[in-house]
Amino acid sequence: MLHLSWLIIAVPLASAAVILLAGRAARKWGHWLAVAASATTVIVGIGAFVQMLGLDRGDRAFHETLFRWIPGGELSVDAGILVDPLSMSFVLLVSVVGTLIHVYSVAYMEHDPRRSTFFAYLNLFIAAMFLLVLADSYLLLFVGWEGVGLASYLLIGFWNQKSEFATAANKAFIVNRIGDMGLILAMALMFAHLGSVDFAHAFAAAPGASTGVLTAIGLALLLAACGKSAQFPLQSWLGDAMAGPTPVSALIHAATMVTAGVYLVVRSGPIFAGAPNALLAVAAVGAITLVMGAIIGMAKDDIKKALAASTMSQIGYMMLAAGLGPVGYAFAIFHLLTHGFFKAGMFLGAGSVMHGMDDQVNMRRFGGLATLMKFTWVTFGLGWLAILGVPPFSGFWSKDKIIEAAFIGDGWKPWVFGLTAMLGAGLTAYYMSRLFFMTFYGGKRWTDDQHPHESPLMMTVPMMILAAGSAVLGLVLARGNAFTAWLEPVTGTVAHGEPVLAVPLIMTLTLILVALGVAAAYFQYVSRPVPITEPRASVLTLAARRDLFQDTVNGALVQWPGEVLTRIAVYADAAAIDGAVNKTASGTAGLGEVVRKLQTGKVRSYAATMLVGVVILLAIVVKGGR
Amino acid sequence: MSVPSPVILWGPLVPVLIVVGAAMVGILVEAFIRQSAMRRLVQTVLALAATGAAMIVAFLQWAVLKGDGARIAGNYLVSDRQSLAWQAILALFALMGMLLFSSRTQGEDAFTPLASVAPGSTEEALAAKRGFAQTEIFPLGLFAAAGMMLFTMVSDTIVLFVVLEILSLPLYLLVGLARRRRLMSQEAALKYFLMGAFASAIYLFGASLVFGYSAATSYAGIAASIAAGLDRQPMLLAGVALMLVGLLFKLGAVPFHAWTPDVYQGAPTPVTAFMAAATKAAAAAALARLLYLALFGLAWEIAPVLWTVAIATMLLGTVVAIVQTDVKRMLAYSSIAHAGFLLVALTSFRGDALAAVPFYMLAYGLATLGAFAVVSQVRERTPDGALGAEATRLGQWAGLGRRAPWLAAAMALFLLSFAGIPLTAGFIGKFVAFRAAIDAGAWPLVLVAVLASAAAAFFYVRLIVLMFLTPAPPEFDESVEVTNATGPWLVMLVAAAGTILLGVLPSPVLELAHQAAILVP
Amino acid sequence: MFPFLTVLIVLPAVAAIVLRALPASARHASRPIALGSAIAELALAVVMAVRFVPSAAGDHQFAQVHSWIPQIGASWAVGVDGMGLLLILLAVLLTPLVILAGWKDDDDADRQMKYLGLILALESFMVLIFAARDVFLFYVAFEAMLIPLYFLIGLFGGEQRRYAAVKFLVFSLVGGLVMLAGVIALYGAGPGGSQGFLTDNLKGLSMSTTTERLIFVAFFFAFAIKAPMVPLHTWLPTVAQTARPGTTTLLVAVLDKVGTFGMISLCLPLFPNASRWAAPVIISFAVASVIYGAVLAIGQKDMLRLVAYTSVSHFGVMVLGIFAFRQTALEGSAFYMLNHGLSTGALFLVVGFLIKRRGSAQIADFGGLQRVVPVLAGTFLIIGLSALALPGLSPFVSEIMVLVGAYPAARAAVIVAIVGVVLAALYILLAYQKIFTGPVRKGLEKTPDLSLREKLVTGPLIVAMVVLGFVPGVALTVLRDPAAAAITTTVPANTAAEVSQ
Repeated sequence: MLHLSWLIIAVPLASAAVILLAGRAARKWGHWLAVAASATTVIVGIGAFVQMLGLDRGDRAFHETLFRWIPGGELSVDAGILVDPLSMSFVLLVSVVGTLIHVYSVAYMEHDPRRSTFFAYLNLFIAAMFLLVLADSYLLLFVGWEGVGLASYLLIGFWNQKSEFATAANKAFIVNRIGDMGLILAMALMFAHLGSVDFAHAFAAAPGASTGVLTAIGLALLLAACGKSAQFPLQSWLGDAMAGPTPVSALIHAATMVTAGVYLVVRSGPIFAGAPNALLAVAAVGAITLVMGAIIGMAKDDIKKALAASTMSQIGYMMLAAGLGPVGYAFAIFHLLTHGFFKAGMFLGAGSVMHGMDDQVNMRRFGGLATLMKFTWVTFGLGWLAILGVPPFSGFWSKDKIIEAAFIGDGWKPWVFGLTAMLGAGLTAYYMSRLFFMTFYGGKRWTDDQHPHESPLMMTVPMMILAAGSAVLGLVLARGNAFTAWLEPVTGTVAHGEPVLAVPLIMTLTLILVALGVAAAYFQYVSRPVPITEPRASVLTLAARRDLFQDTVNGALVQWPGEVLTRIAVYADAAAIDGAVNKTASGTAGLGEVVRKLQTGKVRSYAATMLVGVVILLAIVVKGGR
Repeated sequence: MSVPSPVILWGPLVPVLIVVGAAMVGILVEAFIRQSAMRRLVQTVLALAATGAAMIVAFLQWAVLKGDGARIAGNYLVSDRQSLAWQAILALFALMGMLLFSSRTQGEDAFTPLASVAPGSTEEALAAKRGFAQTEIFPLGLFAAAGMMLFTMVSDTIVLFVVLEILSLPLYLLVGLARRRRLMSQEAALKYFLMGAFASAIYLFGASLVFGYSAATSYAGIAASIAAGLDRQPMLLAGVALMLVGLLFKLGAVPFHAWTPDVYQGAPTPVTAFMAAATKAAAAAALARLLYLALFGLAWEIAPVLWTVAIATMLLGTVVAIVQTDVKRMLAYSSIAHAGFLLVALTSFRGDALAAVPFYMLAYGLATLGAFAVVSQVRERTPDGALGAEATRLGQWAGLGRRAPWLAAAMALFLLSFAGIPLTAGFIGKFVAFRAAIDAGAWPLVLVAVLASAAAAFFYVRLIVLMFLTPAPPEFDESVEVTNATGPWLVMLVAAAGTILLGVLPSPVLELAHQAAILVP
Repeated sequence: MFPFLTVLIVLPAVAAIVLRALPASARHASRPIALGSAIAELALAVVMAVRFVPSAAGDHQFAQVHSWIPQIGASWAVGVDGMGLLLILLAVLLTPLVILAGWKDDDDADRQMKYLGLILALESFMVLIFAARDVFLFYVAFEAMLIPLYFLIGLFGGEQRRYAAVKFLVFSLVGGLVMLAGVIALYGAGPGGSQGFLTDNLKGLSMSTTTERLIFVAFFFAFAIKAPMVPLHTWLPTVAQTARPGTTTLLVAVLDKVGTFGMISLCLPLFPNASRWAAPVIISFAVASVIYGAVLAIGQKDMLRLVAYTSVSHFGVMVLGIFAFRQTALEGSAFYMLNHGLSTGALFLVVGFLIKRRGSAQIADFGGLQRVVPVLAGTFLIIGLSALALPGLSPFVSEIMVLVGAYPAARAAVIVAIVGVVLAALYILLAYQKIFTGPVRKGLEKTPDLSLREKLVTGPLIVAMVVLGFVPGVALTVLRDPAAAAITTTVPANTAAEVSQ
């Protein structure tokens, strides 16, 4: 099936095109076509996976050139796909989670008149995501990169009759574009110094390049990753992106697209290998975002925004891991996979809650839903346990590895990164428990006209499957370091270092912090009644509620100066540049008016003019003749 | 000093003689044919036939010309390809001018039958009733034309003066003969005469200074003395400068241009057309011959003068034209600017200029005659419904494109040719003129010229805007009338055809112009 | 051999004359006649393109040389290399689409006849200028096409049309006449003779440094006005705002390319030393155009002005690519010329559809249209995304080729130009947001969606952009050799090494 891998991209893309072109005609069948297309990718993906498992470890990289994209010249790029363990991991994640969410959406979007369009966009998204991970060059990757951005834009703004949703969509696209600059710059640097933008040639040439160049490329790639993965300082769009329908949040803004930045860093391992400082920057960004997301998550009352903050924070973990270099690459991807499952599951759970609560998202208006929405409660609970990192659920296996890895190294780094990661685990436990408790426990706080009810099977079954994944995936992949070994052809053989603290100690401390976090949340939100309105709070909480002033900062640093600059430019263009043109014109005419006055109509003045002329000419010629 | 009487070769003088002869016959016609309609007819036919014949003969002489040409009256007159080319061009302009002279609408032409009476007086009403017609314009025009043709052959400073007066005197008269706006016309005539006399006097003074230096009046003699004299005496230079003033005056170059707008505006439009095209051509021809034959050795010394005048002329003509509100005055200033462009070519002191200048003047003259032919067709209507003077205020041209599409299209073509837009004769003319200058390294002058051209386009295009893009106010249906006289239409057609032909396929004419780039000393 | 180019040049002119000569009673037929002739022209051009030999794309094929004005050195010399071919195809593709887009613009048969006649006349000149292989002929087309354009702007436009038409003309003439001085001087520097203006005879001249620079500046000045580069750009927004979208489409999508086309096919090969000398300054202005145009586009309230400023920005990218003297960048620029034509042409046309529906070009007069006219909204969005160079659509390939390709030669410039990527997203998406999202504006509830005719106008352009986005090789194959030729003349092998260091 490996040679059919291109179908993974082509089928959903074709499906999206068919649905969009069919327009109204697709209303009846569009969603089923989309589900079928998505399911096809699962089949092809699994088929290819099985085939790959049958190959020797060293041969597990299937590269196929589909056609010559940009021919000849210095910049010759083929459109080709590269199926190796890394991209295969993504293919499986995206196809499985994507298909489940497709199914879920059939029910979730049932009453929307533009449902078929929604499914076309979803198909477009997975096609672009597959292209992103299967591309064999940065340039082709960029096509998928922008494709997922477009799909994300379309889906965030799916209900753009609400102005603020349209704004959110724009914000996502534009902030991402800032990151895209990084990718373009990275390609320019690669073209100039490595001579190529395809993986094979660029990576082959990387060891010969100077550290400075590789660091520059690495930092440019990091900028791109920050945009796509909502990492500091380009994190601000993710919270607003929750304007999209919840399945979108689950698929794009939790499980798959936002992790593309991590993919980019891991994929670019050979480049980062020569750029330790760039790697350090990756780790630093990851660590900052990890804490930042967690702090924001602790204060959010909007269930989706809280989850979004959590996503930010968890991707921070992945970034941190990736920033540790080859030691962390596999763990970053490992956590990415488990996170894909449990976070998607929880988002779908949140969607289920909203579905039953007339699209209410304020957790202060939830409470006690455990009994009314059993499936949702249980599946969400499994996701909760997974993200907390409670053994033996998925998150434990992946997150614990990251924390351990963060403690490896010399000097200050292991202490800073390790302790941050460990602290993050505690914070995660607190805000996720807070979310879980506020939603499912405590007293009923919803209004009288709401009648919470469980969602239909078409929604809950995908949630159950994802919950199952949240429960066991980690264990399955961690057994005998199976996943690390699987990725080894890509990430390289990992020379295991020893953490600065003993592993059991790290594990114990982490679990203690997690327990403390859960306990704190319990005392605050289960033992005591939850106020319906936001209580007065500390400065830090207020700041967290406002996303640590990210929009204020962006507004003051970028948006406001930008708007002022634009106004000045518009004014200057009209007044100065065009003004100069018009002034020249009117000035010439004015000069004409002045000179015209010399034309008095009187012969004596004409004669005088002539005489003056004669004198001048005489002066010129006689002086010149001397 | 004794003046030897020259041996005259009459053959090469035939074109001039035809025109002079026709003028003389015309005077006899004035005397002997009493019936004015008949007299008009005869005069018209005579004038057209004479100018046409002169043009044909000029061509024939070109064909039979032996060598480069020859002196035909001692040192005074020469016949060479250059002068023949000019004569053909001038005869063509005269022919077209005579066609305009002959134009009548509603029984009236542009000329007053009784120049000395006040407009609107009973005498004039009587004259109109009796059908008096002003037909002396034809012989006068022919005399002027003959003078101009002779002007192109002159190679002697004194003869030049004489011929200058021959061509000027009839023009002074013609300018004052407008049927309408007579005071303006007569004022213009007087100004033209006074200024012309002033210029002639300056010229004569210059010629005598030069004679004082070189003891020669012939171009060859002056050139020889310049070549021999190592010492550039101020007397020579001053004399040369003063002589140039006389010709620059006729050319309408700044600062000797002041008469131009008043005269163009005041003269009867057919006269304006004729003199705008022909006088400028004749002056250019004479200037070229003087500069290139007599003063070539002084090229270095004269260049600053010519540069200064050229730049001033181009800039002033352009800048002031922008603010004009009268079509005829606008064309007058445009003609000033064109005199500047012409000087750009002449400053090069290269053979190319002798090909470029006649071509340029041909292109310019065709467009000028065509444009004034159009002007003469757009008339005011007086409140009592009679046709009045030309509607020359720019505003009155609004919406002309809708009312008279062909007329407006032709006008647009002439304006584009003035502006030097490709595929019109004006473009090729500018091209060859500027090329002569650039080849001589005068690119700063050309830069000024192209910038002036761009600015000039503004006012040419403004008239196009008015004609095509501005709707006419409704009252114009009453007050502005477009007439359809045959003469102007023919002129317009010839001018338009020539403008396009010389713009698209200029090759044959350029070839002739190249052959004409030879002066016989 | 069949004189493809001459026929392509003459055919629309003949059609224009036929239109003009139609008796008043038959003028209602002017639309089908015009469209028919434009389609015939397109068909003929396609046949020519098929007969074009891609392996010799650097040569000028279908070449013809006839003596025209030997005294001046001018010839009727036509021929196309790959770049000229693509631009001619662009011109003849857009012409019928523009005619179709403006199908209902005039009720008056007389005005229709005039408009279409001028469009066809313009088409003639467009083909001529991209085919001209003689500098004089090129110049003639360069200037003469101003006249039909002038009337198109002045006769058929909005309120300010007279001001706009005159502004356009004066700007163009200032550039053109300065170039005329250069044209004349170039002849003098060349071999002269009756074929002294043939481009091929003017390559590799030995001129003094000063002469070469002066002539180069004269040419470049004219091209910089055409390709609107800051600060010579202000005529474009005025014209775009005023003229009919169809006129603007041809003007911006095709005619402004004369500027960049001239830079590649005249400036570089004829004045290689001066081109290298001026490159740093030109690149600075190009980058300034990229950013300035984009910032101004963001600040516009009028859709047509907005699109005009986006073009200023895009032309900056093209010029950057040209004066980096790198194969990839220059190839990208040439390709961008085609793509920008498709993209911006489509954008102007679709904006025209919007204006037709609302009677206003002010962005503020729109809102929430996506729910009312989803197809129109989708069309606008796709075209808009092409303008911001979204991957998958052809402008992306060209833009990335320029940015990546020019980087080795002009690092700082590329880094600044990359910022344009973000600004592009801003001006397109903010406009889309204001026009199509949010609550439906009062009075727009009944807005009709795209008609079949309108889909036929935008469809081919979108298809072309998608196809070229995925298989740009179709175009790039024929652009490689012309680009290489331009570079090898400008940067001979020995200096190439110098530049890359």
